[in-house]
Amino acid sequence: MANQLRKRKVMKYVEPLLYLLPAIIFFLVFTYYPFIKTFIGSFFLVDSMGNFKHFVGLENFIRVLKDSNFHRVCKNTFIYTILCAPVSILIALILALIANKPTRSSRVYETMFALTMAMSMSVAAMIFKLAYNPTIGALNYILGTKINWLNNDKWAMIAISIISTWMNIGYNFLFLLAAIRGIDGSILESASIDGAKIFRKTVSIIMPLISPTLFFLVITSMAKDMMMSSLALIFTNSGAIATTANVDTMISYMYKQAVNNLNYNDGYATAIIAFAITFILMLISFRFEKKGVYYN
Amino acid sequence: MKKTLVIVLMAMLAAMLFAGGASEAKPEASANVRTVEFWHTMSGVNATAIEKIATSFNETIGKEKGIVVKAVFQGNDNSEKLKTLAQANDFKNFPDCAQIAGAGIPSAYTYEQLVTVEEMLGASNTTLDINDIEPNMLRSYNYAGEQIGMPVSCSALLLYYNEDMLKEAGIDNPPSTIAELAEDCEKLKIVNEKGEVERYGLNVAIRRYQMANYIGSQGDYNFFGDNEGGRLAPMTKVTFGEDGTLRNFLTEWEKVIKSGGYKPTEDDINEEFALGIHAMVNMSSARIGKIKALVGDNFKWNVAPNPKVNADDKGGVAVGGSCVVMFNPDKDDEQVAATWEFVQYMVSPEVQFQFHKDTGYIPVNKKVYEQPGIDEWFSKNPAYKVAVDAIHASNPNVQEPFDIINWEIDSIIKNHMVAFAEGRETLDQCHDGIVNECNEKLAAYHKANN
Repeated sequence: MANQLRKRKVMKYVEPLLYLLPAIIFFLVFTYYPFIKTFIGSFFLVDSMGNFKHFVGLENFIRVLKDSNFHRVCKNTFIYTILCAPVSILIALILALIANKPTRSSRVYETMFALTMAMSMSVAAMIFKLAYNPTIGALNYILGTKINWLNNDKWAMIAISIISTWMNIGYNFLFLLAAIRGIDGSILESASIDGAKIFRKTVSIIMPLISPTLFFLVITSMAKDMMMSSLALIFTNSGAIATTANVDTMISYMYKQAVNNLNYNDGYATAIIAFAITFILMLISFRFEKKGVYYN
Repeated sequence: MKKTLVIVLMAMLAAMLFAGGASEAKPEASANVRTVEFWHTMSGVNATAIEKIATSFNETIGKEKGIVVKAVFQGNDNSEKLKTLAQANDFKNFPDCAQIAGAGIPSAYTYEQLVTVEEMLGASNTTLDINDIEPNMLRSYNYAGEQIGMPVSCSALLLYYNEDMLKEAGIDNPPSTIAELAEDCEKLKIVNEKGEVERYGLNVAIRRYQMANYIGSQGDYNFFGDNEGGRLAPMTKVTFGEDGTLRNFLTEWEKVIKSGGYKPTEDDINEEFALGIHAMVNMSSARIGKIKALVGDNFKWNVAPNPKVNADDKGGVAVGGSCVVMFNPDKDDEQVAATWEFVQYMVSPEVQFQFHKDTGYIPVNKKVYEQPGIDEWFSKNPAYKVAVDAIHASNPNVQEPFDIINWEIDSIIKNHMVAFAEGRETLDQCHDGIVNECNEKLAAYHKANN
């Protein structure tokens, strides 16, 4: 009897851990172990086979931080993040406000707004690439401009951001719609009775009430955008197809240094610097959470 | 009950976790059939053509000798994949043979599992006479005096021109030097009243590939870097700065830039040429088929040998394309012999002629020109003949370098050449930028790897 009791007690502690085990193993193998290895590697001279040769202190960091290409990719990443996260959330918010009231036809446009979520990044990139062509592309034709979207240093990053903004609208829209629909109708109703117009209601009631969702979207979008590499790699990848202006981001630069150029020294150091910058940005955002986010 | 459920669930999860880790067995060779795994890098029409070679091999020699070739598309860079496997020490998953670009040869050379073409030439089942293979193509995949890979798909840099536009501008022959190219660009450009260029004389982004050709072609031939451009031993520096060939090229190229009819970045170069936006484009012969399909009967176009830097240059063009390298992952000599059968088959005259017709790649086997129907084929497709003649007229020492860090060198050249063309850099800044940055990157590589 006592034995069984003890067994049950042990099981009580062990069982939840067992459930967590698969996730923990994945995290250890694919997140924490590589992170620690990258961190340590960034202080070593590493050869093209990935072997650590000898300790070099901060040499890798100094070289990367002095590299004008790295300055450029940092700038690109910031432009991308600043353009993408707010714009796609704003557009999604407007769409969610419009789609707020469930009607008979709302299913149709809800699906339409959310559909960009289901697009493949590379397919979207290919479609936009055609549209961006300066001489035969649709965009210049419609706008009546002669902009070389992808091959001009000023425009290239904006062009890339537009694709991503468009693609993220669906995801943000779903979250914001759910949040807005979750607001207690009686609050809005009493505001209406008090004479509040749509703008006032949005700014003073809806926005504060959905601020946790907004905060979540800002944080996740920002982290995702700082770590973006897919579009940059698609547009600048090897071969004769793509000769885009420099649209590399911190992570695509890291990838290219490590994988294409077998330069793990620059690759590891870049990864750590990119992580540090993103981490600081996250910390700043969480400070804002205390002031700006309202949990009821 | 609950406990049993927990255990079952745990077991299932564990099984899921480790399922991916189990080593994937190669298709079992049954008693009398051997499977040869071949990784290729081709897509679209070219993939169909290369898979057709495997199929026809399986139906003929393969059937007779009990060999089945399994052609697998592995993305456009096999060297990268092999490198990844090598880093993980996973040589068991190496294919029997793989198609790689020249730049991957020095790293392939370091794999213990590599079986060089040189070693196979003395094998008992060798039917190929290596002298039948074009010498410049052989040299492309020769490292430290040893024949490493077997060339399969080869191409040459050419000047594509819109015949109608040239005629209209009063140009009888396509330019043979960069200076002439600049003059023609000036004549061919069309500028509207707002000062915007509506038609360019030339479109090309100068990258590593084009640069290797323009540097290599100078004089009798010229190497891009030391150790014969990395073909004798690893390349440690670029030599085009100290021997003056880069300055020669840039001085001539400046004339093209100053013509005002040159577009230095590439967007959709094939389509734009086909729409008559550019009168000339500078690209690989591998695109002849594509241009043919895009242009159709809309206008007359042709190709010409790549323009020379100096009028008396004799070097010609570098061989572009790829080769097949062989491996012995299972330490099984009979397996290697089977792979060798297939590699020899790929470069046999009949197969190469068919592959040329399907893809436009220049045949690697000289005996192709003795094949029935070859004259008729070339009379119908004169553009291919220009590419073949360009390779035949070139010095085998004109090659793309084995520069190890080819992607870095590519982006250095690309960035400086665009900056030069757009007036953001002077000739000297462009020259020194390319030379110094290439050398810094090479030095960094050797520091980490010696």
